[in-house]
Amino acid sequence: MEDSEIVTRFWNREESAIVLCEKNYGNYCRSIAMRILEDALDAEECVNDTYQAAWDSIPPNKPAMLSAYLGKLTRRISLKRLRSRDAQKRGGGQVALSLEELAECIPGEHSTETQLEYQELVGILNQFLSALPQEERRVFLRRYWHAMSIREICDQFHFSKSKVESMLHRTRKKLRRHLEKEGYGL
Amino acid sequence: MNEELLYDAIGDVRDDWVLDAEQPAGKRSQRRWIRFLAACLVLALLALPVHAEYDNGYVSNLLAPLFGYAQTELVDSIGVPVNASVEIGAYQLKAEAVIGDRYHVAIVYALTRQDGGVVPEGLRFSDWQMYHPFGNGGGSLSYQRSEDGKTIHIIEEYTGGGWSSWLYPLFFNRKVTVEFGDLVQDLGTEQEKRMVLEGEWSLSFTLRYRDTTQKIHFRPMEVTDREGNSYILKKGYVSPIGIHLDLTSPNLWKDYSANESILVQAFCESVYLVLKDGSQIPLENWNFNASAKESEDTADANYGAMFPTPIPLDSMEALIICDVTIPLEVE
Repeated sequence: MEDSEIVTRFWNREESAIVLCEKNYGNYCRSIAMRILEDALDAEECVNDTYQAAWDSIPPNKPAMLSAYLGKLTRRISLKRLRSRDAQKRGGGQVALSLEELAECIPGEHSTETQLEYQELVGILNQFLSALPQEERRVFLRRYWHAMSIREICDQFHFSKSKVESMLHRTRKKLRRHLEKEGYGL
Repeated sequence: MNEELLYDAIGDVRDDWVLDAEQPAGKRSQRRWIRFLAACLVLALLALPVHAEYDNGYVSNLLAPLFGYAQTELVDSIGVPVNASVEIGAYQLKAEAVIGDRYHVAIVYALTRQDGGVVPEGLRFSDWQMYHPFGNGGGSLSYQRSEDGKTIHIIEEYTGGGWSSWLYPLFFNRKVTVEFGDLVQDLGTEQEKRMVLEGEWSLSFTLRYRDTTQKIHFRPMEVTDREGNSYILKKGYVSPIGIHLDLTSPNLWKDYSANESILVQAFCESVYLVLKDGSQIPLENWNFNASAKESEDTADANYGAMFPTPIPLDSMEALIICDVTIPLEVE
């Protein structure tokens, strides 16, 4: 079934849209969550949260590429869970809870200004990625979007470990120069 | 900005980049027009000289870090010297010689001190990138220090097989550009690398080796690996440098939970070259590429492997792939 048909079902508030997402993209989302969280139960919860987030955001959104849309939701949700989990491990359980409570006082996820800056950063990253050779871009995104290990990337591209590491090193250096040129300092 | 913000922002880049990154190696959509273009250009390029005569032993000596001193006559007849070098502070990096065929290339570089002194042990480049016409594939870089300590030989090997192979006749007059990153000294552990010289250096040169690739005559056939996966061998090519197979493989990207590397290894580890004297050579230096849509059960794929040393075509008897013997009948 085409993505557009599944999105139509979301718009028509048909719950079969969720079933179809699980069927077509469940493994994909699970693999993203597992790489970030390395815990099957947490990953499963994040995938369920992904479907909920998709249900809540479609409409008004109408994603053209559903796999990328769901993948991004899963990634975001998984990272949030990871950071929350790590904060708790460091004994910051109460601090983390307090921050969450305070966040409720702030309208939207970020202030308008911060959101604009964030979108600007995303635009700069898109510009950077569009100038990369395709192979370099794929390796970069597999590492930093899909959170794949070097070993997994080596296996998929049949590159040596040194080649993947050197490629990523070069790309990071290029990114740093690009960000500095755009006025960002890390 | 901190690292977490950057990591989050990477998560929101363009959807088509994200989807493209998930695609397996191989460029399916470009093959049709590339075939047409190659057909138009082949005739124009056939008459161009592609190889010159060199003194016996000259090229094989330059390529000794790669092959040792095996098959020197054969190496001399195929490989060519390269005259490209770049200064890196107190050092010089020189591309010494290249050898290859339609799908594989190997280049030997020499890193020396300009004052002729001893080169520190563990000297490496932090990264490298080759821009070449071989299409998607896999490469490696390895280092050998000479006995007198004055040279580090760098051996670059690449096996490709994507659409670019249809532009093969252009290879002889195609430049490759190789870019090397920071020069560092590897002190033996993952974390300990001493920066020697920060920068980027590039070499450009032309691949002018003699192509000796021959087509292997066999009817398309199905083979099954030890895991029970079936592959259809469609076409094969061989040269004294290596072999290349075009095949149909299972779609390794259909199930994200599958371990694609195990699927590929089961096939790739089953390939042997059989010589006329009866000896069997396992082909360990292999590369496997495939491309397919997620919904498809099979993928267009190619397999390539470089031989450990060049082997004369007339000493080859057969290939064994997944226990199936394919006589090497070449054009």
